[in-house]
Formats: sequence, structure tokens, C-alpha cells
Amino acid sequence: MEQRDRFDVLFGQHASRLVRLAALLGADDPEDVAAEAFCRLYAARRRLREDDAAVVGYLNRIVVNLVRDRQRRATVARRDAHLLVPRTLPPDAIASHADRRAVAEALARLPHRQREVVVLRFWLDLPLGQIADATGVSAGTVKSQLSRGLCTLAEVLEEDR
Amino acid sequence: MSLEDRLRHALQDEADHLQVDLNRVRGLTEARVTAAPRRRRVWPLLAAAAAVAAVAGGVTVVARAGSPAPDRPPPAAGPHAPRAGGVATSFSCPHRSTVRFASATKDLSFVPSLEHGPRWFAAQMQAARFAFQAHGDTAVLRLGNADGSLGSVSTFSRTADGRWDAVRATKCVNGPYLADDPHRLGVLTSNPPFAEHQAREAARGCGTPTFVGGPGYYDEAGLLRHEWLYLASCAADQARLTVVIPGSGSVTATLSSRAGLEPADVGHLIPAGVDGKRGRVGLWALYDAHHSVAGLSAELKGGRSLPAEAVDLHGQQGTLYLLLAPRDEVIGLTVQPMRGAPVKYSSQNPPGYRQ
Repeated sequence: MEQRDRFDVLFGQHASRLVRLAALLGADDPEDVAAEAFCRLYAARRRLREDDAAVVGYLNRIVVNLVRDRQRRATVARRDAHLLVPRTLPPDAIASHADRRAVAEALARLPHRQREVVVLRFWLDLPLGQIADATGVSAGTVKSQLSRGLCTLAEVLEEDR
Repeated sequence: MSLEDRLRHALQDEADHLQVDLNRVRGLTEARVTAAPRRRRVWPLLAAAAAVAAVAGGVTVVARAGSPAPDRPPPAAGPHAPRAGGVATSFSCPHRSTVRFASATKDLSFVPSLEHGPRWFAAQMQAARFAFQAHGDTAVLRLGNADGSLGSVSTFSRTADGRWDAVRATKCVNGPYLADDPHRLGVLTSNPPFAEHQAREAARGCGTPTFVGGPGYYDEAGLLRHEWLYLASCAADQARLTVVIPGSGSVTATLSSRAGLEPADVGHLIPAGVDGKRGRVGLWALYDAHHSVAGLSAELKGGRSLPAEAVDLHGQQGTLYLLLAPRDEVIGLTVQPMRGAPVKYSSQNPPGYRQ
């Protein structure tokens, strides 16, 4: 398959998922993040292996890094930016999904790194090794971040019950 | 329900409720991947020409579609930034021109500047590569294409207050067939990423657009650009010819096979102002929905003949004949039908050139 065709196929297969991943990680503009991720994929297309799993891992890593970078900048400008994007939680949807709202809000209170591993683990169902690859830390760090994140979530969600 | 299951459900629910505008994602990606040259001043002229062009000879300028070019600074850094080095030291293009800025030149289409550095200027020009060398009070900036071919060489001299002043610039310019030889139209390049999406938008209501190539041309900086031509067959023996302007928009013309054996003058799809002379290069198209045409050719001065590119629409009905030639060289056009005598058209009788 030609590189361009492969690129189009990857876009069709993963664009929606990447937008949703960026949204769950708290991106202000998840569609823009996904677009930027595909631009970087395009720029690196000649260096990519044929293995689609590696490409998907590469895309996940770009999105995680992009959201992280943007949040870092946003945090400098506005220290209280640790909330899920309002656009991802329309009021009517929130009203009908109380538990989702509670989880989303609890997730938004987590430190970025813990939120990343929780989303990658429980939304994408990634194993620890792939989460480590996407977040650029060791598997041990992923494990500890995940453990801390779950503890915090358990406390917060228990309080809400 | 365990905390883990609760998280899984909540995250999935959250993700499912997110409305994803894939067209926006594609548009954003497309605009960045195929960012249009900022200084491509010919295209607004083209768009304006398309907007006011009248219906003539079976050709109707239908629409100009697409989002405007992204309003953001050129990528002096990042994946689309110009790369330093790898630019040839000599020209491979057949036609060049030199502008000396110290003289009273009126050609200000390309004025090199080092005010913000060579990389910044290369990014402004959307050059894929650049090379910069300074020796004492003289500096040379070369802008190149992605394949390393040289587009322009600019020489600067340092002023008393330390600034660099442009002295002269030599750049590639378009020849009689723009940047290409006359026989390559239609097989120039592969389908550019995402231009197809724009073509599909422009051809809404018709069949799937087929990439038919398009002429390459040199921009004001001497860099090689391409326009992307697509054809989609529509109802009632019509086809929509679309020129995609990456990251900016598209211009379309509808060709009607019912015009019979009369080629349509679609020169307005050529970037206006290329080489400063609008309309110097002609483009003719003939859409044959029923395979009743065997060929189209131009008779040039000096007894030469130039055959049109024939592009079959894969999976669709019809064949497109495209002919690119310098207008002042063309004496007439000849259509050879499948049956019967050739039909000749003369340039003395525009726009159909019927003799």
C-alpha cells in the first residue's frame, strides 16, 4: 500500500478515537490535537514501520504529549484549568448521566500524569507496557501512578455516594 | 460494580457522547499538511476570475469552495519547517530570470529579506529547503524544493548599520509550458494527500473525482508548485473539472459532453499571473462521455503537432482530453472523432476555435 493510502486508512481508522482520547485527557480543543497528531504522523511517515500497532502507539504518544504540552501552557496561564472540557459534557448529557459526571469530575481533579494512565488503562485498555510507551515513563512508574490515581478516585467517588 | 468497571463504563459513556467533527479534523490536518504558499498571489486573481467568468463554449465556472488558508505564522519550526541544507548549487530549471534590486527594477514579486533570518524567510516562501552562507559583507541565500533542486539564489550585502540588503536574485521562471515539458500533463505527480478530499467536496453531486495530475509551475520565489486537477463525471453527460488549491480552496469548471467535439477553453484554471503574463499559457479540455473521440491535438507554429493527454476515468464513464500549450504558439486545435473526418478549430475564432 502506498504511503498516502496508508495515511488515509490510518486517518479513517483512528481520527475519532484520537479526538476522544484527547478529550478524555482534558484537551481544550481535542479535534485540533488529533489534527496535529496526524500532521506529525504525516511528517514522520517515511520513518514509520509497516507494523500498524507501532503506528497506533506512536499516535497515542503524540496525543498524550500534545495534551500535556498544551495543558502545561494553559496551567501557566490559568492555574485552575484542571477541569474536563465543558464541550465534552453538555448540560443535558450530564443530567442524565450522574455517575459519568461524578467520574469525569473526579478524573479532572487528578494530576495530569495520573489522569493519563487511568484513561489509557480503562478507556483504551492498554497494558502497562504500552501505557509506559505512550506516556514516556517506566512501567513501574505507570503502575504507581495508576495505583495512586485509583486510590484518589476511590476516595472522591466514595464521598460522592 | 467495582471501581475499575465504573471507570470503564463512565469513560466509554463520556467518549460516546462526544460529538466528533471529522470534517474539521480532516480540514485542519489538510491545511497543515498541504499549507498553501503565503505569497501565492496568483490564486486570489484566479478565484476572482472564476467568480466573474461567463458561461462560454460548454464551460461553466461553477463555484469556488473550500476554507481559507489558515491564519497563522509560517512554520519556522515544526514538521513543516524548511530544512537547512541539501540545496543544489546550480539550477536545473530551463528558464531563469535575474532581478537586480539596486537598479530601478519594477519586478518586486520576489524581494528576499534577512530581516528575521534565513529560516524565517524560507518559511515565508514555503520553501522545503534553504541554504545560507555569509562571507564578510556578502551573504547568499538559496531556496530549494523538497528534492533539493534549486529554486532561487539571492545575494545580499551588509550595510554600514549591519543590516543585509538584497542585491540581486536569480530564480526559476515558467517557460512556454510552465515548469514542464509538453507531454507530461496528467502524469506529473501522485495524488497529493487531502487534495482529494477537497476535490470530493467541490464535486459534490457528481461521481468520485479522479486525479488527473496538473501542470507544475514556478512561483514568485522560483519554487516548484503544482496545481491539482480532478475530474468527476456528473449527470447529463457532464463532468466537473476541479483545481484544488491545497489549504485554501478550489475552482471548478463544468464540462459538457453535449458540446460535441468542441474543446473548451479552461485557461482560467491555470494560475493567473504566472510569470506576470496572464493568459499566456492556454489549457483546453474536451470531455468525451461516449467514447466518440479518438484524440485531440494542437497545431503549433512551425508545423509541429502537440497531442492532448487522454485521461480515462477509472470506474466512471468517459475520457478527458487535456491540452496545455502557449497560446501564441497555437494555430489551431484538431479533434479526431472515432468516425469521420477530423474537426479543426482555429485560434482566430475563439473561444471554441471552430474553423
